[in-house]
Amino acid sequence: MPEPQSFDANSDLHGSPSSALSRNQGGSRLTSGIEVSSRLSLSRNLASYPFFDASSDLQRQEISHELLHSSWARKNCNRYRVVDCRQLQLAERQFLFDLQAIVGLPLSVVITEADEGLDSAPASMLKETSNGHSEELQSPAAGLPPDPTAEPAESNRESLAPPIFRTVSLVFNHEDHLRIDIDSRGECLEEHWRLASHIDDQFQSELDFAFHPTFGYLTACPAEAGTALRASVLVHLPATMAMGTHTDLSNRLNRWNVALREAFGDPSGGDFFRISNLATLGLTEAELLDQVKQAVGLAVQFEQEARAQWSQRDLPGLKREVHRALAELLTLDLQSKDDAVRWAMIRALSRMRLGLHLGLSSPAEGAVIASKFQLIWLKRLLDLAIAKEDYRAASRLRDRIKSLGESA
Amino acid sequence: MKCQKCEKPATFHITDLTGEELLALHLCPDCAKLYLQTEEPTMETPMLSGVLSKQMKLEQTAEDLRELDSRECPVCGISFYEFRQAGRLGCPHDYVFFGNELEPLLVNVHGDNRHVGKKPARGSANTESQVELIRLRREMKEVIENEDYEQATKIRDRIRKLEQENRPHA
Repeated sequence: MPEPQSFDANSDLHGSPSSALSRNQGGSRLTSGIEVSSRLSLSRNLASYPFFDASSDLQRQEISHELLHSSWARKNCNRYRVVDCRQLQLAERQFLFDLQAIVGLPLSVVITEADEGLDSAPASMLKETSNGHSEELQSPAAGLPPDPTAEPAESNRESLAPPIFRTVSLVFNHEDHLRIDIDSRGECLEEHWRLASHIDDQFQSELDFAFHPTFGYLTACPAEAGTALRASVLVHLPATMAMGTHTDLSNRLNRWNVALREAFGDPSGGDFFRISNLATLGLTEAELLDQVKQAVGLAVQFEQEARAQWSQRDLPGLKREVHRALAELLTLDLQSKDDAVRWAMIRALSRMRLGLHLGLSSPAEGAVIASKFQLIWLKRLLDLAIAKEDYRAASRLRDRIKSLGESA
Repeated sequence: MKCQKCEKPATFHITDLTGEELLALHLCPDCAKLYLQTEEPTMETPMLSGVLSKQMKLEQTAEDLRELDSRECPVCGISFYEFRQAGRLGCPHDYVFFGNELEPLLVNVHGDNRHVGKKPARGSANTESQVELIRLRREMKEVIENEDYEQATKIRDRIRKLEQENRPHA
């Protein structure tokens, strides 16, 4: 059963809260739990091919081949896990990553048994890639690509569900030829940028990406050209929404050329928002990250003020809402893919998360919900293991599910 | 009947009328769902085509628009009309070919049109030969469609030669 402190998303990142504190230099913000996760995407296109939409199937296969068989990808493939996206679509994966960050579990659902190196990737996988699907390399726990201390794939395979708090995905032929996506809990955009830039450098040492002296890195969509970098932070703003100050926040962020968008498409508003840069030209990568970080800082300030105001105005009402959400989470079908059920689940999780951070509900109550999610994800992994006929993994997963079921 | 995209039984029989020709598809429920899913626009990207049409209405007459829409990139063949509809360019050379039209659009979207961020460490590559490679690849696609394999072999050899010349000495 997870410990209550697993809800401090930032402390999960590097193992200890103190190390996260020294990296972020923002002690007061670390325990707020307002910043849930961060994502950085860097897009690149090979200079001698048409962009994705204008390329043929054959050209897309060639593009995948060039990227997959670059010496960096070949050299590092054994340090990475090849995730077969045919089983989990990209948007679904990102939703699951966000959900895990919201729930605060030290568990990654994105585990397959496909630990083969890229060289042995079946041709069908390349074909899938050329058809617009993505192929991903996932790093073991927060390790930089050339990290010699990175765990070998086999040991990850043994542990089945290692605590992965950062995922690195190399997405081929999805709008652009290459997109380096880095997701993690908490706000660590600068670390993401260093890692993405490092991977980009490795590719650029042998491949030419489309670059124009004035317009920068060229992308299929001109709205991405220049740095081709999109940085975003998922923030939890339930009190800002309840107190009605979100419009003011949104207007102020728009003036900074930063977007504030509801994260899960909830038509009734939702409490989770993604703050991201709008421009990719005219500012350096560091300036863009700074812009987003400042915007996140403002959102945190708004939310903290709104939380204090809400607690002062109607604490009993707030408590009732938190307890109603906990009861709802025990009855909801947490595995549902139906949008309406998902939105209801996210709204209830939002109240639960708020209650935990304000001390309105006990950590034990949160842990019951967290273990419910953990059980679901382990069952999903078990299905994947059975589909792959990996009975050893399936047996271990069954044991874990059994022990979790008994302790719940 | 098996699904055309996987091994499962095909239970969905779709006739797609949206393209130039009729397309008959026999798919399993999972593949059908994927096929029928309309791709959502990237949430992070502003609605580019909206910005573009607004900008053009303000600055150009109908005749100018028609003329501009008919312009085609000599390298990838995309017309400005196609770009305006989809909001996506066809190849890196479009940034040069449609440069005058793109500059105000970039200023509108980004508030600037100059890149000041990271640059390739090895400096810019030979742009001319890269553009030539894109053009040859388009030519290759066309001759393969016409089943002119003799010509395709010649183009393939030219592509290989250019690729060899372009390969960085890393």
